[in-house]
Amino acid sequence: MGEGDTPRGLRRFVAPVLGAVLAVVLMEVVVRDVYTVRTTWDPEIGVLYDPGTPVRWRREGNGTSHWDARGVRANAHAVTASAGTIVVRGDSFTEALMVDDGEAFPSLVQDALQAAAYDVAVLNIGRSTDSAADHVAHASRTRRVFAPRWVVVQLREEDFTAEAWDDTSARFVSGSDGSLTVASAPLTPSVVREAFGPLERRSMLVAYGLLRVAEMEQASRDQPPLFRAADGPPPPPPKDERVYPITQELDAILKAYEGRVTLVWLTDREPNGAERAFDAFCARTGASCVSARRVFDALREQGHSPYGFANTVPESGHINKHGHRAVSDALAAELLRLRTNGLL
Amino acid sequence: MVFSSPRFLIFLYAVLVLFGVWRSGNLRARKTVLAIASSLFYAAWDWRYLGLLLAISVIDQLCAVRIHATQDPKARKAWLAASVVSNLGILGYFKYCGFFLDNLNGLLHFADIHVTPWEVLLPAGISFYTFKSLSYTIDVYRREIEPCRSQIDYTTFVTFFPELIAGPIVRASVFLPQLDRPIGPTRERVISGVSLFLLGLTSKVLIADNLAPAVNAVFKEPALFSGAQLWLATLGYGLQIYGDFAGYSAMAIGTARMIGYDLPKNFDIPYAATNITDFWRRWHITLSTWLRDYLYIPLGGNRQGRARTYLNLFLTMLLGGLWHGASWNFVLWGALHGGALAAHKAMREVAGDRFRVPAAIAWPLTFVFVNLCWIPFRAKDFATTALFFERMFTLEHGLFWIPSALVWGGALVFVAHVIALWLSGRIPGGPSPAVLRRIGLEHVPNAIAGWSVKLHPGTAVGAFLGTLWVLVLFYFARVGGSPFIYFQF
Repeated sequence: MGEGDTPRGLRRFVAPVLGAVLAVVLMEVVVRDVYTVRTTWDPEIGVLYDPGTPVRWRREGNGTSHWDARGVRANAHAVTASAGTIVVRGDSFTEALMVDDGEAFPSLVQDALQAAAYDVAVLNIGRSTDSAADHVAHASRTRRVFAPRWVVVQLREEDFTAEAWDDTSARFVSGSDGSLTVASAPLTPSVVREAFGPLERRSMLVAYGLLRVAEMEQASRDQPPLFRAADGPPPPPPKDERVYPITQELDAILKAYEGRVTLVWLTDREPNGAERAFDAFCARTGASCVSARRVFDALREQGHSPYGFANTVPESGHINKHGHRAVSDALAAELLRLRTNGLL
Repeated sequence: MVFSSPRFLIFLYAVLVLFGVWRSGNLRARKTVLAIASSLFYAAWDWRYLGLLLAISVIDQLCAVRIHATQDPKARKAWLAASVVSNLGILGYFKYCGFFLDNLNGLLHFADIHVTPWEVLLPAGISFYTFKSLSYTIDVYRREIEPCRSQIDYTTFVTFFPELIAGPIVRASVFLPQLDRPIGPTRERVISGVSLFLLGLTSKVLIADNLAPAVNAVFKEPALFSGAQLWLATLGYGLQIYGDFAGYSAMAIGTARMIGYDLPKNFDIPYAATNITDFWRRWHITLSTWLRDYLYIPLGGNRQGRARTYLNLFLTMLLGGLWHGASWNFVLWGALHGGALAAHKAMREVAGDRFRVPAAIAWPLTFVFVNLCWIPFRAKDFATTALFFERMFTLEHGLFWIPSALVWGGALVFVAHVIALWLSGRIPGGPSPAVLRRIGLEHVPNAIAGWSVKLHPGTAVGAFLGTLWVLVLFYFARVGGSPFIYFQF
């Protein structure tokens, strides 16, 4: 190689590397717009969203959310809360990363109560994957940290079935006498979190990349080894045949909050056994209950599905802003009824 | 092994490494290994039908050799008939048996007779490889080509994995001469093949797979949705099937190119067509030319008067529709296209150049017609098709939402069409090689596959585009998407 060749050779190497690096930087910016999830670890309840940064989750819906250090989601408007607080517990449907802060039903309920001259703060502490067992297990923390006047617990069928009984988090345990207790699993950060934690917090390309790899791994496991063109898609896995004591689970929630609770049931398109059990439980016990059946069906009549987003499919996934508005209307009406009756 | 799955990428990598390392030596041995690799690829779907595939290659090679060996016209015809009957018999049994029995039961219902249909599993790619193999014996019969010198060559052709499952339907006259050149990847071929493969993968996993859930939801329960929503879903399916099938074809051509072979192009900017005849010159080109050469022309083509020409066109597309699947919906789809082709031909012949529809009107008319025809193609039955048309044209109320995948997919397909028209020089002022190089691309002319472009990873812009492309696929492709639509045919 001659002397004059060295810079040219270097340029030939440097130019493509620079191009590739620029592409990676650009992609980091693009990915952050779609997915920005930074988390911290709370030894008592596990993963919390970083209070310093907005959470962007635009894989389903187009939402941006903000969280405080206690795991409370920001509402659209700050209030003085002279009349105290109402805490809303629930799973990812309450957490509602898919919609903006002001569109989630707890924030809308607070607006509605404020409009009715009831100066109460509605705190959204919904957490993805929380089940009926978690609602019972975390009752004492909820009371200790937030000292609520009232608690709202959002529920769906899945909150009472496998998720409430598996041993990865808090779970129900049936006693020999048929009684129900809650056992808590020890909380430990995942191996991936330990290994990639610092990098994951700095680069969303890494954080989202890890999520994508996990999804791809799952998808490749789901693919049958002998896919046959004539067979169509693989059949869905068999439904859990186990019969869950939904009424007892509901009763456990009621007891955990000493009856000062409103149960909100998010209904599927077609009524199912769990929904019927919920309706029967509410009728029998006279508990404060809100079923989304009527408001969701009314929405459908108007041409809106309560579930699904522009980047997903109607009637699947989480509730959209129409669904949140409908739930908020029904819940606010129930809370105002309780207040009128002097219960709240 | 679906082309867009990690399993296929590992398989392809292994094949490329094998033939990249094993460059010299016995060509026959390497062809044998390629045939074995292709057979393994097919067996990954369902090993039980590998025997069927190999049997077809043996039967047709035998028939072709016999046709070539004799000058007796009767014997030649008899051997050709043996090939036609065996191919169509196999296709008929596996693909149309259930359909035939269902319809027979419908007819015999009044007589209280019922024939219990037996379950027949459709072998993947059977419509493609029977047509490919059939054209070989017909070409030998027509003395257009000579038969292969060896069974290995012919088996390599029939089983060639890049186009085995869903085309392009490559002719023996195009492929067999390539078998005499060395197998194996070269740097140029790999870069050009990877560029095409990435283009196809993008089309499949970024456009088609992201559109699929929205389209599937509407076609599954159309009664839930508004008329406007059904229009959107129809348009969505038009984009989905294009992204899916054109994507598959590009991946097949790219894969073959990496290994060292060229396959014919299958799509040529089809949604830019300004009439239905033009559309069929651009859409699934290898099938439309197959139907022209082996069905339309033997039926008499345009040599027996106008009325017969129109009938031949109609019949060709009717059977083309049935080729896609054993269902009256496909027959309806074929009939709609056949009727439109015949009507367009009649219009041109009667009116000549006096009546020319301006492109600004002709293009949207063609686009809307082609998309409306996708409804019977996609719908599960006649009732769903009828419901679609009824709700679409009465603009019924129901759920309505605009899927963002449709907005993105539509924009991407539109931009891709414009770029392709520009690159191909069909928009005035097409790019010079210098301009292309400045944007990190290079033109790749190819006598068989037509033109394409490849990335120039050695330049800053080429590396930027290539890296960005791969990252976009990794982060935004739909994971666990549906299999390729044409696999079911």
